[in-house]
Amino acid sequence: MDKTLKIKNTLFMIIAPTVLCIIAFVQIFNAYEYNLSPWKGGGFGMFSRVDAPSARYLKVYLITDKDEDAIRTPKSLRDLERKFVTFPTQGLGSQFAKGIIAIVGDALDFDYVRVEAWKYRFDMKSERLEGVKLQEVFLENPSK
Amino acid sequence: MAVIATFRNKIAFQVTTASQVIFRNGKLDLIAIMTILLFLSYAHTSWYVRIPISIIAGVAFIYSPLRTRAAFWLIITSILIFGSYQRWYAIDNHKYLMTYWSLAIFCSLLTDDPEKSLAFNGRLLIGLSFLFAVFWKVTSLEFMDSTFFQYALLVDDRFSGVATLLGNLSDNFIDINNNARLTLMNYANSLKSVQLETTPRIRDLAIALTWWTILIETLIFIAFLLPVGKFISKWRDYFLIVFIVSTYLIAPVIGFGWLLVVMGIAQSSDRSGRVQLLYILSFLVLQIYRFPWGILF
Repeated sequence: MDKTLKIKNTLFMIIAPTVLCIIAFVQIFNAYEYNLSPWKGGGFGMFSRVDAPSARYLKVYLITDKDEDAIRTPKSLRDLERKFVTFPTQGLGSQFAKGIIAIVGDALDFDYVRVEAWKYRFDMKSERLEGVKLQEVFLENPSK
Repeated sequence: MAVIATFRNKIAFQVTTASQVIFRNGKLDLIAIMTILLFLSYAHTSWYVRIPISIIAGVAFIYSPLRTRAAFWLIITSILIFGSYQRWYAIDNHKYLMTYWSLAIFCSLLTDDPEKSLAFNGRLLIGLSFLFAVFWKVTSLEFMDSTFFQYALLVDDRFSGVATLLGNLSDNFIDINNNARLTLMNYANSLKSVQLETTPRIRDLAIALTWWTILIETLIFIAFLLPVGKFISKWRDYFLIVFIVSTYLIAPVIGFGWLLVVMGIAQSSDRSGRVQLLYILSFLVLQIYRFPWGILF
């Protein structure tokens, strides 16, 4: 077999395993650096930690100078919520907070919005689930 | 003794005949059919993946030469890459693996020996995915001290059958645990922790599951990444079949199991066809796991 053909065959043989390795390394980096859930992103971390997206949750607060009220995520932001809790970066948090302001900003009176991404861990000794805050984003309501 | 020998020969003949029937159209075609069926059933729930895959796969079932054309697999791979990119943060790891597998089929069809290339890809994709899975587990303290499996047995629906049957966890405790979890996650709640209910047997079960998982996954990644025929690599098919049959009984992620069966058949170097037949039997066992067994108890 000529050399070029051999190289072509070898290249085609290693493409898929190479892609798997690159994506897995990127996932491991993002999980350790930016709290990406180990269960997601193609790194094969499922069933290794409690920290699945289903163990992550969001708290959204509308803040005035007197009070703060927790609100439920509007339906149109559910997908972004899922993305943000799975990969809780400042950028996605800001995007989510802006979405909240765009949806409820005119209808409700508030000065700031605070968005918190949480996960829970399981303490085996006490047999309790304990909340741990992963990220917090604070944004001013521009219409105020 | 003579009766036993005759019986053994008869069984061996039947197994060989069954293998010949299954591989009549060639291994490549069998792998293509099983992969297309897998993608039709489990690829993605998004319409922009499901609908195009259904159309293209339907055409490939009617017009069989399409199944071994590189262009066909390029289209399938492109659809899967698009779907995975759109929902990368939500899809499970086996959806990534399905995309790599589709890419591997496409690339293999561009080589001089597609079956050899596919066997190499199947072996490496299985070995590497188990290597990363073991990496995540051994670097996780909560996995190694069995915290993860205790938690999973207490609140994860996928483990509720085994938690009830072997861990003595009552339906009442399962409800209490689920309510506690939902209370902690409620948007309006300021609680920082909640109590779960357990049983003494859950802890023992969690320890057993932890060490079984580490053992079998380590054996698989070593056996599949070692050169063929070296050390424990000779038994790699049996390790994988044991993993498929045991793991998906407890946590039925059928799509993943099915994909492992397809890749297992592709990479198997057994010439008699018996190992491939075992893979196909394990595929049938996976389908039996899908029955709603819970209604019987």
